[in-house]
Amino acid sequence: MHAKMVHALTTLVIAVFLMAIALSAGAAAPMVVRVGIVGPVPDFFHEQVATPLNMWDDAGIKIKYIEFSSGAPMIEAFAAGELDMGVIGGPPVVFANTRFFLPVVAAWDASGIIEMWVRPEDAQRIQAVGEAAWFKGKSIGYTQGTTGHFMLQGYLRNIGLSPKDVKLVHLEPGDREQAFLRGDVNAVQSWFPPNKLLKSAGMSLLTTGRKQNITIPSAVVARAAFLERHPDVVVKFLDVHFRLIDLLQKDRDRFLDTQAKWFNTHGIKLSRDELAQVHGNVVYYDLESQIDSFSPKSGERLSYFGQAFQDMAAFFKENGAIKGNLPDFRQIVDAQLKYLKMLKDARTKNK
Amino acid sequence: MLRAHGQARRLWLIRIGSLVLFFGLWQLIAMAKLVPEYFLPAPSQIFARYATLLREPIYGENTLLQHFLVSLRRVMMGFALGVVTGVPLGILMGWNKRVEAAVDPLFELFRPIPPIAWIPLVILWLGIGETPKIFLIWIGAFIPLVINSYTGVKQTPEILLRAARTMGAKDKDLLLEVAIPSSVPYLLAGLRVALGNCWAILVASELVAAQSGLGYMMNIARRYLDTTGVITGMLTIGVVGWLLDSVLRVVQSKIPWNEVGSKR
Repeated sequence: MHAKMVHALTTLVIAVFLMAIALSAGAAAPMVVRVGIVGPVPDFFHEQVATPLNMWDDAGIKIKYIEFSSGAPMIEAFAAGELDMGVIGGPPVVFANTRFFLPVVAAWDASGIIEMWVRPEDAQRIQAVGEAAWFKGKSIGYTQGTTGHFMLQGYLRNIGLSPKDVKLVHLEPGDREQAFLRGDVNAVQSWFPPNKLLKSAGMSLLTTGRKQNITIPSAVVARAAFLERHPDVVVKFLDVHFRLIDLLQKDRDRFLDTQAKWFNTHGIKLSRDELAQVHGNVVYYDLESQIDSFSPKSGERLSYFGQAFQDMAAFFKENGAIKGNLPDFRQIVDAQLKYLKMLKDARTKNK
Repeated sequence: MLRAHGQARRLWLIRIGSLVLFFGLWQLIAMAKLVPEYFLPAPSQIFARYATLLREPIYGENTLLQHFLVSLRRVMMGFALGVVTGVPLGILMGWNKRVEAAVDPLFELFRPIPPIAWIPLVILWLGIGETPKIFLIWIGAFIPLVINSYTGVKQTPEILLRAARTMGAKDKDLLLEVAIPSSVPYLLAGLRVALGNCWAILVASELVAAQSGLGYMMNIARRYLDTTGVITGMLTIGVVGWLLDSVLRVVQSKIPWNEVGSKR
């Protein structure tokens, strides 16, 4: 009798369990896109502006943001299959593609916000003696394997110096600025937000990547398997991305107000003017110009952004960080043009 | 005697067997390509990388050996400073109630703060030279050494103190001839814990403005998604930490009154 009851109860529990599984599978929850973001950075504005303006809901996708302090852990998360899409600086994209395929679906040029700072008195000396003469033998704080590293080497090349002519001191973001303000290094390469510390201390902005004609791409990337399985979702994401850029260009006040509010509610005091200044130094691409920048010109092997990523990879190979062959940026960048064209077609159809 | 010898040999065989099994399984998993190479490189690739890195520089101008020597120097300096400051303080706290009353509240306030929690302050306070790294390692050694030397002195058997007093020993003699020698087993245990902590904190300390060292090498390797480089650094730290701990364990086993301490 007792054995029968146990048997019946066990059967009941198993049946309930199986029913629960079946029900939960049936109630297919809307897919959540896991988006990695290095932040908080003003040109990685997707969370800061699109979410408060309900643009994701309007596009019919759900986004879960996962914030990272730098690109390296975000790439690890991509490698582990824990992210579907990401907004990230150029170098981690290059390093990721030396190990696995991480396509770039949109890009912009952030070179205007990758900066080199010196002390005000040194800025005057530089004017008097020239950059090359002043920098020779000086120590420069930078972060290895970042956009700043790339900009710094380009800058040194532009002024006719090699890395051996100066003392490069690798420091983490934040540590760089502290060390510079203490006087431990003579110059520092910086970006937002740690550069706020330099501004408020009255330091002098010497130059930026843009002034040095160095293209420093940032990008929206998508995991290859995700892109293959859900091209429609990626296109929707891109739609929001380009709508944000349109908003910044056509309704600047609304964009800046929303973004400033986001920063301020997240504990970062940042005015509309400061944000406007940052955006003024970034070269964004609307859909049409992005299609153009992902298309190789006749007679050229790579598109504008394909070449920009390739140049970055070549630098890191020369630097010893990349061994073996360079990744194929025709596949990583240019081949992703089809998603931009899909978006263009969809927009045309909707019109 | 022979039986004991046979058992010791068997235990060694088990030890070596477990290592062979571990690396063997790892190699098989990697060879089966269940996961990509950048996720889990095979031990054979790690060993091949060792051979390369001993000859060629990695992330800067240093070879693996040079990175290792820089790290070893930092660990040894932090550890030595920990011994020089932590042991006397612990002994004084254990021996003198006034010192204990004065130091204990501060010590208890700082004790729960992990060394890595100091990282945001060390560059600001100590700059980017060797000092901030050694400071962080020193904290890792200092805390267990104070605790163990304090406990060792406090645990001095009353009967030994009374016997010494009966034979006319003064306070100074009681401390130097009875309390400190009796606390040696605790002290040695503290040294082992402290040394382990120093290696554990090394990687974090070399995130602070380091231009060389195993922690720096691993940090940069991570940035470039160079998993082999990261694991090479980890294994080096593991092997060296294990070897140094073994030396301390041998020293510990040679202390004749160690058994008294461990029974207590």
